Amino acid sequence: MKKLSLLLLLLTVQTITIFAQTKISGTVKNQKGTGLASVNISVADSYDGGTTDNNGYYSFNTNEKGQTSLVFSILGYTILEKDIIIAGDTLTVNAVLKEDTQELEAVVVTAGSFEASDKKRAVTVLSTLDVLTTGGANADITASLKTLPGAQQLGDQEGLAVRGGSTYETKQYIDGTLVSKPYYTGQPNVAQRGRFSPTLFKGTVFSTGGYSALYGQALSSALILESVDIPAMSQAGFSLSDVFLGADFQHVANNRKSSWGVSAGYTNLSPYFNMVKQRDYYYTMPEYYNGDANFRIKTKSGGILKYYTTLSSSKIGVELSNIDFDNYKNNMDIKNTNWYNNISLREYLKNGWKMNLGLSYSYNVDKFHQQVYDLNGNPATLLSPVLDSIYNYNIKTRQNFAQAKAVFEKSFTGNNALRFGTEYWHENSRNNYKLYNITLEDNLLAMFAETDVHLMAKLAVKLGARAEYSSVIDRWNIAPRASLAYKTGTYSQVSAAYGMFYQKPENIQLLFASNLHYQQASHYILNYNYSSLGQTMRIEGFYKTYDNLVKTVPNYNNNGSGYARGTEIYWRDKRSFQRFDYWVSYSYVDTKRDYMNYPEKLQPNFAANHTATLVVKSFFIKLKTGFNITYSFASGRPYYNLMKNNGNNNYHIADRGKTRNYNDLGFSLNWLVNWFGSNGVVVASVTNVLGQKQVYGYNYSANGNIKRPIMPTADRFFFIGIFLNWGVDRTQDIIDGRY
Amino acid sequence: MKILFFTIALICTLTVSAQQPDKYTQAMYANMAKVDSAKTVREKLELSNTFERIAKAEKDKWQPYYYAAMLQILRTYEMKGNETQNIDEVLNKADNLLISAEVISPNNSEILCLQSMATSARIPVDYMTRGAQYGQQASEILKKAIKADPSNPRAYLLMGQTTFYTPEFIGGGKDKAKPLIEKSLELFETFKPSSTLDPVWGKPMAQLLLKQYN
Repeated sequence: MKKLSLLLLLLTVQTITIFAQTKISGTVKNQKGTGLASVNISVADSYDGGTTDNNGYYSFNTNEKGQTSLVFSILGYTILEKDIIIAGDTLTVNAVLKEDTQELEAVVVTAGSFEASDKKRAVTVLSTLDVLTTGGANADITASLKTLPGAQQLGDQEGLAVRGGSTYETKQYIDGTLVSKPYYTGQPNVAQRGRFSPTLFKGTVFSTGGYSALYGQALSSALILESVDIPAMSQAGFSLSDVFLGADFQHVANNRKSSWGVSAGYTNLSPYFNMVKQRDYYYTMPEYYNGDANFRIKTKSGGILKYYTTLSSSKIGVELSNIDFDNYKNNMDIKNTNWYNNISLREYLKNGWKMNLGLSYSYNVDKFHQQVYDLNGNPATLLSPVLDSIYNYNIKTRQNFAQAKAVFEKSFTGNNALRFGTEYWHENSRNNYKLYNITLEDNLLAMFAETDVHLMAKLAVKLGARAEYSSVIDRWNIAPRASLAYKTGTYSQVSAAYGMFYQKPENIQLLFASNLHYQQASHYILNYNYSSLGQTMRIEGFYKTYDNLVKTVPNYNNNGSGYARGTEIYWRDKRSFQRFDYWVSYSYVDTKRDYMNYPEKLQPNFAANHTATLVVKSFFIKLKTGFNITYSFASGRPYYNLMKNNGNNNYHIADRGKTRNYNDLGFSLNWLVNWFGSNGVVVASVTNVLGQKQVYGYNYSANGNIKRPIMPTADRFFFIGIFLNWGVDRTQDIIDGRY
Repeated sequence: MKILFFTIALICTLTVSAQQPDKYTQAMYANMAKVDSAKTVREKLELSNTFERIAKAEKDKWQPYYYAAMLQILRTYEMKGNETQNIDEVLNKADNLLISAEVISPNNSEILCLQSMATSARIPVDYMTRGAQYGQQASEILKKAIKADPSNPRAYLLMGQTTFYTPEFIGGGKDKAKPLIEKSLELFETFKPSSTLDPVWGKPMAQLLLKQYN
């Protein structure tokens, strides 16, 4: 055996001596002249070759002879082939490699938007999990988005007030189509939750300005939600908390090509309000019923057809103090029924074309009934007919909203793309107020086109335009949009965006005036973005102008205007501290507007100059528990008492001021459990842990003499809930080969 | 006795040389032997590049692409600290190599196993955001691997390993992993690679895992 090895060794040595080798070496650099590491160098059609070191230097020996070529390859660069002639002992071959735009992580236009999805390479800012585990947000999408820069900390009205814009100026879209009533209907001066659970969505884009031409009818901001495709597995869920009870079921077909699901929930605040004292008295405890259903089917092309529907109804009866008359109480009944439907189809066509179709329909009924009672509990009529009409009323609004949208997209090489499409909205709202019966109908047609062009590997431009015609306005508008991004480094880029945005006046205004135009805003945005693994930094400056804002005095007109400018900073770091994930947001906005009944340009009451949040999360594997803390701060917001002038229809400022600063420390923990064989989680959370006094503004009596703070219905909200999930585990099926 | 031994040795040598006389097989054997000894990130890269060169020269063999990809995936396991920044880039490379392998040998259980490994190797970059999604994707690919070849012990081993290290509270756990590991060991007993260049790794790993139950 030994002999044999020796023989083999001898043979090998002989082989080496027979073929005289050539040493090939050199240095590989990129276009900037920096040495490139890990480049694979090979002699064409042979096994011989080498790998560059950290300085870009390589060397290897080869037995090949004569005319051939040397191939340099590394991911992210165009393959380079150099003709060589191998002769003699040594050969030096240097090379310069060009960056490959198609393989490089291409520059993406990001100005103005927070991409919050789980896509492989997108800058993940806020995932579904983040929404569920943001301290104090109680798993509400809107509440968790308030931890990002741009959004105001409003507790007295639902929705997102972005960059000096009102909540009306932010719109929500699900799978491309607008959601007309994204929030529950509730009592005045109390922000309501969103109707949609964060778990319905796989991605969220929160655009705080300068967004795509695919979206319109929002002056300030677009919240673009993309629903999940086929869920991971069949499962059944059950939830119980101090305020609600729910159950859900999701079935996924064995071949994972289709799924369907249903869920039902019941919310009743009675037990909670009996334990935790509220500022207002509820003679009908808030109660909500809701149910939803969905199905999803994968198409042959790899696309998907999705349907989601949800039906909910709610009622509240609340007794509010009467600010004008101490001996009266206002009883307010609020009832809401909402049915929402969304069907969407994503289909891949031939030749790189993609089609997105969306259809949505919703029906919403809001009923507000207010009656004044005296101290003896008898209904009262106020002597002044004006005051009586303010206090005793019955309003019923029924709204039908339907939308169809089609977007076609063609992808070209080099990440270039063309998108265009059209959408049509039909809105019909019937309003009953006392003896009045007013119907408002609008048909809105929009067309849009957008293109992504990569001018260079590091420079991308997105150009778009949108045209809209609304029948109630009876005019066309054309809104150009443009943005560009330049990659300044591996992890950083600079972007800029410009756009014009149009939005119809609110329905309540359109009901009273027939001569109104679109309101208009222009956005100018400059952004710097740094994102490496686990760290994201974003600095953004913006300037916005508002024109044609609706003024309600002396009569309805479009003479309002305004501006907003500011700076925002966002920093998220999951890397520096083990097990800790935190982010910090700061926004500064300087804004003034003349609209509604404002007598002059004023800082609106929904805008604070400074807003800051700190979110910290940590998960302890041993304890199976995550702890989440959110601290929110906002400087005081202005408030005004605007009173009608004697002698004319205009208003003057009878009183003004700034509220105290807003501070809120929110806390939540999520403890993972396996009760009853489930994958479950126990969630406990408290808002405003420190019990800091929060004042959102002031209400004034009709004569202006009495002023009362608008405050949350209670200092804190305590939540404790159990969410259990039983997934259908199919391990045994796999072992047995049944699947 | 000595003569007999020598004869056997000679026959062996002859058979070996009769079966693999070609340059490709020799090069593959030589480099496959180096897989276990390539310890550092750098050594693994160099060996991966060597396999890639063989693959490119041969054009119709999936095995060199397979080993090139495997080494890229193994490289990421060694990456620590600031190096973790490059994990995605390395795995993109591995994915590309596996696509090349798949084109040559579609629906190959072994290639699918590596694709699953390349997917789950992305998780350490950001456990919180990626854990659930990539974990899910990785096990979906493993199911395909089992379907493609129900006698592949590596597919069960990887499934068992993933389940073993997935916390109980998100659907994993030792108890669920055990039957999978046992199944893989059972298959290792009978598994015959269809060529001497096909992957054979994994049995010691399965044995090691099973020991942890004692």
